[in-house]
Amino acid sequence: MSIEKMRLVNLVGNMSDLDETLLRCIQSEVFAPEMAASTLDKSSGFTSVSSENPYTQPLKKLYDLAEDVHASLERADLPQDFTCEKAEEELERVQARVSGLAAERREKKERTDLMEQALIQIRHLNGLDVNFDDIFSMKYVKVRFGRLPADSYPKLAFYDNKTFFFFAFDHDDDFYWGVYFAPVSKITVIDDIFKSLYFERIRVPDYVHNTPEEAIAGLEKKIAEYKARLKELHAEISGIKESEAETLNRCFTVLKAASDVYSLRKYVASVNNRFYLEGFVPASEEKRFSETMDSLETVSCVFQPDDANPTLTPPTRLKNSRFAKPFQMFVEMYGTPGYRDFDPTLLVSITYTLIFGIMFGDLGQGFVIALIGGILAAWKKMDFGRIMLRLGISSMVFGFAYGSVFGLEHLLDPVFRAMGFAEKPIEVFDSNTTNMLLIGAIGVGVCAIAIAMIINIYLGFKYRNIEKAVFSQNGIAGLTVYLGAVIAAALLMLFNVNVLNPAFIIIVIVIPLLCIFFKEPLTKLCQKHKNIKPEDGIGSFIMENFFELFEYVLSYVSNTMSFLRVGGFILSHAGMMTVVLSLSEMMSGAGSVVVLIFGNIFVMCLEGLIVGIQVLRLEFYEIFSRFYTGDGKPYQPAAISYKPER
Amino acid sequence: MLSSCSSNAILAKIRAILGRRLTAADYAQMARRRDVGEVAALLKATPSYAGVLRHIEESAIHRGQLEALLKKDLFYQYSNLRRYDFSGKDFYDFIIVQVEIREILRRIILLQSGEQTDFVVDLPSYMLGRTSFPLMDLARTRTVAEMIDCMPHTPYPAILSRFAGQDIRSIHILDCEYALYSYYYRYLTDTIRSQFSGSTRKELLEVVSSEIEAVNIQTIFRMKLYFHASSEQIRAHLYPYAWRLKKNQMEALLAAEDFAGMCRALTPDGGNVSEEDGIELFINRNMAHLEQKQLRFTTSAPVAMYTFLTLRRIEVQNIITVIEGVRYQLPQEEILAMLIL
Repeated sequence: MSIEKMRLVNLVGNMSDLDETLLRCIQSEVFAPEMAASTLDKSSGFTSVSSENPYTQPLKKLYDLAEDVHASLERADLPQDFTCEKAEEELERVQARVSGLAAERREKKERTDLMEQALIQIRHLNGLDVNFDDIFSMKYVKVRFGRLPADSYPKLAFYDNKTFFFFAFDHDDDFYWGVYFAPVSKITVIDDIFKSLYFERIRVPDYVHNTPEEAIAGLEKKIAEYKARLKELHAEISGIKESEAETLNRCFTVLKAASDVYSLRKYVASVNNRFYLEGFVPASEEKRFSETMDSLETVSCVFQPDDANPTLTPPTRLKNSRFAKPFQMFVEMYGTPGYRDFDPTLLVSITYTLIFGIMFGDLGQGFVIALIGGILAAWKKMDFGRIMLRLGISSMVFGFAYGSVFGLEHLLDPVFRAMGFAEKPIEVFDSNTTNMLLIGAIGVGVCAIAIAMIINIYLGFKYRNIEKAVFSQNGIAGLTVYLGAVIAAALLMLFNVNVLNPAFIIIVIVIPLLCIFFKEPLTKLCQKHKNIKPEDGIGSFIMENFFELFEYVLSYVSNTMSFLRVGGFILSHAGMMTVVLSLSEMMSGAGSVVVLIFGNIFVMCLEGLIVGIQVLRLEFYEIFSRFYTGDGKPYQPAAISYKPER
Repeated sequence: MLSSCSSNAILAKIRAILGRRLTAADYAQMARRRDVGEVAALLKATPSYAGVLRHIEESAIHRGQLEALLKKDLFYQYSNLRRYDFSGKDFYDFIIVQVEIREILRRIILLQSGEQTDFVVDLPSYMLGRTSFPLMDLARTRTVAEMIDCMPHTPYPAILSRFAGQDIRSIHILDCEYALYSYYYRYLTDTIRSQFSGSTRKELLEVVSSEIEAVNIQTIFRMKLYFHASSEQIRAHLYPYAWRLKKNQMEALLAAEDFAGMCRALTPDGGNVSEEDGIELFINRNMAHLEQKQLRFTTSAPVAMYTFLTLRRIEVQNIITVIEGVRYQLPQEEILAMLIL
C-alpha cells in the first residue's frame, strides 16, 4: 500500500554514445523520460536533438506492403545479423515481388468499382427509351451522364443564364441521377460548373451501345471478367503473404524497435557535442539501472533526490500486495494518485471485496465467479479475472454465513447443525434479521465514511493544510459532527439512551459546525494572516457558506443512507433467487433443472454486474470524494511498442 | 417538467455521441493514409461518420465535397438535438447567426477578389430556408447596398449600412468582421442573460467570454505580427469582454514588442510556444480542454449543447487538417502536430 520512491536520473555523455544510451534506457524497462529541454535554461545554448525519424519512411513502406498482402504484423525472433539495413533490403525485395501484382489488383479493383458505379447509374437510365449511340453521335451538343449531390441540386438555379440543360431522371436523399446537355462551344465552362458542384460523371464505356438494357448486360459481363482476374491476383498475393510473413515480421520487429528508440530523442538536449537526458527511475531499481549504464565510458549517470528539479513532477508507480494489486485498475480508472498522496488501493481492495461479498452472498454462485475469475487470470492474465477470484471467494464466505447455495436456502442446514447451530445463523427473510441487515449496512457506511475522513485528516496534516485537516467538512470538525450525530442517534434508537444534552450539542455539533462555516478566516488566523476579512464581502461570505454548510450536513445524511443499498441487495438477491426457485418448482423433471441453471446464470450476470457497479459507485462517490484527487502522473517507462501503428 | 426532461434527453444524447468521438489513435491512423479516398474510407468505418458518408464513392470523393459533408453532418446533429428542446428559447439559434455572419463575410471577401461563382459552390445548401434571409439572393448580390436590400427585417442592414456607400474593394474586411461579430457576441451574451439564470447563465457566460478572450488574444498576435499595427489600432478591434486576462496583462500584451514578449505577457514561462507553431494552436488547444472540462461536468443542456457544438466543430476542423495534410503528402508527425487535441 504505497507509492514507490523515485530517483531523478541525469544522463550526460558524448553524442556518439546517445543511441546506445537510449537503447539501454529502453532495455532497462524502468526509465521514465522527462522533457530535458523544458528544464534547462534556453539561453545557455542547449538545443533539441530531435529531427525527422529516419525509420518512419521504411516503416510506412512496410505498413503499405503489409496492407497490400493483408498481413498482420507482430514481433518475431531475430537472427543476429538482421539489422535495419538488412530489413530495408528485404523490404525492397518483397516489394519487388508484390508491387506489380498489387498495382494490377488496385487498377483492376478501381476499374471494377468504376464499372459497378456505371452499372448503378445506367440502371437508373433503364426507363430511358433512347439509344446511347444516337446520344453520343450528336454533333453540336455534348452530353454527360452522372450524379449530382442533392445539396448541389438547388444551386443549379443560380446558373439560370448559362446554356445547359440538366435532366434528372431519378433521385434519393443524397443524389440526383441525371444527364446534362450543353453546346460543344460552351462545354468546358459548363463542365467546370458541374465539377465545382461535385457532379460525379459516369463515363459510359466505349463498348456500351444501343439501349440501356443492352448496355447493362455488356457491363455485367465485363465486371465478371475483371472479378475473375482479381480472384487470381488475390490467390497469388496470398501465396506471397504465406512465404514472406516471417520476413515481414522480422522487418517490423527491427524497424519498430529502432524507430521507438529514435523517438526518445525528443527528450534529449545537447550542447557542445554532449547530450543531456533526464528522467525518473524507481529507487529500488537505481543500482540495476546504474549498472546498465556503467560500461558506457563517456556517459555519466547521476542520481538525485526526486525533488531535485522543482519543475518536474515525479511519476507515480503503485506498489501493492498480491491481494490488492488487481484493484489498482479501479483506482487508476478514477485517476492516478499524486506522487506524494495516499494510495487507496488497499482500502479499495478490502472494502470492495467485503461489500461485494455482503451484497452478493451465495456459496455456489460465488464459487462459479471465483472459478471464472481464476480461469481468466491464469489464461488471459486479466486483472479483472483476479478481481473476480477475490470477489467470488468473498461471496462464498458470506454465502456460507447466509446458508445460500445457488439460491437453495436450506441446503447447508445439516452442516450448521453439525457445527452446533440450531439453524442457519442468518435467515435473510426473517423480519428481525432484515432490520439488522439494514442497520448493519448503515454501520458499514459509517465506518467507510469515517475512515475516508481520517485519511483526509492525515493527508491534511501531512501537507500542513490546516483547513483540510481541521476545519473542512472532511477534517476533524466534520468528523466530530458526523460521528457525534451518528453515535447520538445510535444510542437513542438502539439503547434508548439520550446523550443530546446542551453540553454535547454545543461541543460536538455547534462548535464543529461553526468551525466549518468559518473555515477560511480560521485558517487565515492560524496562518497568522493580517487580513482575515472575506475577499468578496461579508454578505456574500455568509450567503455562500450558509448554503455550503447546508449541503455538507445534507451530504452526511445522504451519503450514509446511500449504504442502505448494501442491505437492500442482500434482500434483492434472496428475492430474485426465490423467484427462480418458484419457477423451477412449477416445472417438472429436466425442465426444473434447466430453469434452475438458467435462473442462476441470469441472476449471476444481472445482479453480479449491478452489484459490481454499485460497489464501485460507493467507492468513488462516498469514499474517494472525501480525500482523493487522483491528479498524479502515471509511471510510464520508455518501452518499444510492438503494435503496428497504422 | 417537460423542459427538464428535454434537458436530460439532450444531455444524454450528447454524452452518447461523445462516446463515439474520434480519438488521437483514430487521427494517427487517418494521417498515415495515402490519399483523401483512403481517409474517407477510414472515416466511413467509424460509428460517428458512417451515416453521413454511407453513399460516397471513396475512390471519387473530392476533398471539398468531403468537408462539405462533414459540415452538413454537424448541422444535422445540431438539428437532431434541437428537436429535444421544448423550452422555446431562441438561444439555440446562435448557430444560425454564426452561419449568416460567415456567409455575409464570405460574400464580401469573394466580391473583393472578383469571384462571381465560387460563393454559390461552397454555399451550405442545408441552410437554405433556415436563415433569416435567403442565401441564394445573397449569392446574386454585387454590392453591400444590394446585400442590405436582400436581408430586410434582420439586424444586418443596420450593421452593414456604414459600408454601403463604399466601393466593395475599399471595404476593410477587418472592420466589417469586427462589426458583425460585435453584434454576434452582444446577441449571444444578451440572450444568455435574458433567458438563463443561476449556474447555467454563469457557465455559459464563462464559456462565451473565454472564447471571445481567445479571439481577442489571437487578434492582438496577428495584428502585431502580420500588420505591425499600433496599440490603438488593435484596441479598436478588440471585443469588450474579458475572462481571465487581467487589465495589466492585456496592457503588457499590447505593449510587447515581439512574439516571445507577448507569450510572456500571457504566462510567466511563455507557455513553451514557438513562433513557428504560432499562438493559434496553443490558444485553441487550451480552449478545447476548457470546453471538454465544461462539457464533462455540466448538468445544464444549453451549456452541454454549446460546448458540444464547439468541440464537434473542432473535430471537423481536425479531420479537414488531416485531409489537407494527407493531400499534400505531409509526414504523419507533422499532421498530428497541427491538430487541436
